[in-house]
Amino acid sequence: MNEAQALGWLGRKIAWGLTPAMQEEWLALGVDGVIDRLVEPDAHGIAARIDPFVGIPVERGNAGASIREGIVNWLGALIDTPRPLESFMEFFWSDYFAVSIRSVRPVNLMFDHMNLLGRHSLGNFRTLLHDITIDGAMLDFLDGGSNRVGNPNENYGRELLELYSVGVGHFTEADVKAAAVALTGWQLQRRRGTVRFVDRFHDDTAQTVLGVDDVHDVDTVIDAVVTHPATAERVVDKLAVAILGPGYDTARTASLAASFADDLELKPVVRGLLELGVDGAAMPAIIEPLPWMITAHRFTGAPLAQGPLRTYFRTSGQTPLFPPNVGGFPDPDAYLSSSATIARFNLAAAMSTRARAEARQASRDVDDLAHALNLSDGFRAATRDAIGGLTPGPDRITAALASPDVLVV
Amino acid sequence: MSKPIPNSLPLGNRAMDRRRFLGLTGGLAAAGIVGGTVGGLSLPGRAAAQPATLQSGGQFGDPAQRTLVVVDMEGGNDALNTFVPQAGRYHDLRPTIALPDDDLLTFTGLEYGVHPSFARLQPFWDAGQLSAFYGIGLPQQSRSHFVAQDAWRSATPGVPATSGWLGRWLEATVPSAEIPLRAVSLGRNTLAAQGETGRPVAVQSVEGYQLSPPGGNTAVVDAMTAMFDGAGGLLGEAQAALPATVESVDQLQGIIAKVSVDGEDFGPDDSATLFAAAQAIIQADVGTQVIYITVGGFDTHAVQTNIQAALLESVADGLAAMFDGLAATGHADRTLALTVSEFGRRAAENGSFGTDHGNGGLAMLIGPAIAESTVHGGADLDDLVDGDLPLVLDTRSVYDNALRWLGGTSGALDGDWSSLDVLVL
Repeated sequence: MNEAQALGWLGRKIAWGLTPAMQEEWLALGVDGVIDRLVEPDAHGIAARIDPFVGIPVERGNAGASIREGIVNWLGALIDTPRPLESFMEFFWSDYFAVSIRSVRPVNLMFDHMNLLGRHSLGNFRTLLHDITIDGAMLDFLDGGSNRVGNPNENYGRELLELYSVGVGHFTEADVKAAAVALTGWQLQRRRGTVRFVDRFHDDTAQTVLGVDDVHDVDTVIDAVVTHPATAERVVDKLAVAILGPGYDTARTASLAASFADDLELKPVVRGLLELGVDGAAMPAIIEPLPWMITAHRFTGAPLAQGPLRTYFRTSGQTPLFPPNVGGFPDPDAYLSSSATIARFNLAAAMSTRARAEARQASRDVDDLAHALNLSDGFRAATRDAIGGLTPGPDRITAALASPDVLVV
Repeated sequence: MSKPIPNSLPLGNRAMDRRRFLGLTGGLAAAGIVGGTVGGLSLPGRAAAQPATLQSGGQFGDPAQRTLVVVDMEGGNDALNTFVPQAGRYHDLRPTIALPDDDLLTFTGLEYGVHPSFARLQPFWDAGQLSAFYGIGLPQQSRSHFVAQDAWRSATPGVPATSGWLGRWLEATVPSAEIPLRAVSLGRNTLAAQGETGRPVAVQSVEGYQLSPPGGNTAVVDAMTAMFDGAGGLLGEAQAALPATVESVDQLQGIIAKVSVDGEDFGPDDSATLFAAAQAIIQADVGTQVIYITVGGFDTHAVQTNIQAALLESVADGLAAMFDGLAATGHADRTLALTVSEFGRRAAENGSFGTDHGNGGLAMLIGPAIAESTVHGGADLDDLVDGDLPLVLDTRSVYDNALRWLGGTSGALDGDWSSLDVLVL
């Protein structure tokens, strides 16, 4: 990749589109500078992440209003963030540790959950996994909050092993049961929306999990799963699929996986994956509906109206905070579906009519449109001709946004 | 009248170069289909379903005109609280979540009590149109949702899933004239209807299934279809998705436009909406052979009683309303419904008034082509395996019936699973 291609890839894949101001800024920083600022925003004096949910009233019996406001505020924070890599990672973890706000009450537990993901998005995986295990929303969603001595609930223990750490093939049914026993005692206080550990609900009997003896509480369970080599391998694979795309060359990530296994620090591995990406290791992948929506918004600057957004997400099959099940959203290829295609087209059309002046101006020249959308090599000839045959303005903006060229990065 | 398990049941020792389902041309789009042939659409929640009169063998029309409606109850439906054993340790295993005997429905001749949420399925039982399959699963049946779902949807247990059982059938039986709506998934995409390269039309949400270009300018829609340049790989798939989508909208928009939509604000459509959409698609007579509805939420680890009751009711009422509507327009005879779920749940309850992942699941076939109402397999609570109902039926033997309904298995299932024949064709 040349410099322009590398910046284009980072801008589309990681930042989900760049506003004209961001484009200028990135051009001045260069690829290495951009990667450093993405990974180390503190060192670059970038403003800290804000809590997008602060001040949302959580009224008993009216969860719907809180959920609507929470989703829109979270999207707003992802769009406005000065820390796009952290937003990318926050979205990644919200899929990795998929919790649906539909079944979390009170909903402030879900807001706390998202803030937890945001705080740890580029932190240490062991810390993140530990805190998620006793997180209120997770305790509610996977029933850890009712997991008690004498009659354990296996739900979280199973997904901890299958989805959050070692993965299928590396654990037994006995491990599931043992992990569940060791995690007994964490209780949700629903009225307060808080979590506490209740000793009399905890079974402190020593368990064996993944071959590790004397596992008896949350710390020893987490130690047992994160020290298993399959956990680091699996996390790095998930990160690599998200950043480099499915079908990436595992030989090129092997050393990253090895060093990640030593300390479970996320920054070095994510930085390494970004460097591999700009070095040509990235594979084509579909941009998922949430990142696509942000790309469209960054380009058009159109206001986010709740109605069209709701229809967009429902039709696309990826409503933020509503993953279909504990496994999270489907693989990105699923968004080649007719429904998702309709969703993108219609949102592009809705946004195109309210696009900012720069976007309308860019639509006068198809190559300018490509540049504004960070397509470093321009549109393919067929796409270019198809867009060029339309009138500048909303028609061209819609066709450009909904084009396959923008969808595949 | 539960049948004994035949010994011959096949579950071991008990224990286009880019062919798509969608056409890429507008060939059939203008065939007078869009809008206008949806008459008689009946929405759920009205009259009780009246099962269609069973016609004699061979009266279900050309297999190409039949539809299979699969209802995937995702999450692992608790079979034991759906068809409840009337003998054995049921109440001992489930001290807090056992359904009271008085609440259960009595289906004539059936040794199981039936969940009260299945009230609207009782007429189908009485009419001889409901076959249940109890203790069903696949070899090495997994307690992982995702491994089990992949196995059920691919019907290739133990092999990494690259295609679905219906997807392979659709690819093996491509008709000479393209039928854009041959397979439709409602509510969610599904591996089951995905072929090695082809995908079904996917309707995530009924209300949004239309294209709204700026200012209504259809030239923008036309431009999208002109972006296909024969590129390979993922980009080629993304290019092909555009004209395929435009065609499916041409076909489907008028059909489902009259379906009233309900569901949570940001959440998916509710199942009544999906069943109503299925009914409308069948009544439109556009050659749809496979409809796959996914209904989530059956993963009832905690306080399951009310959750499962609502979910079972949504499925039973949705099916009954769909058949009711189809009967009114003469389409019920051409429809067979199949319910599946990736596993059953643990026989004993957990400490959260729920049940953990288990084995020995439940499937049902419903429709006029069923030979007799009966339960195949069974649930023996005195013969649990590692706390689970044992597997006594192979999922593929039910799939075999479903595919024979559509005209034959056409090699979509690996091996011969034809020994369990429950249809009158």
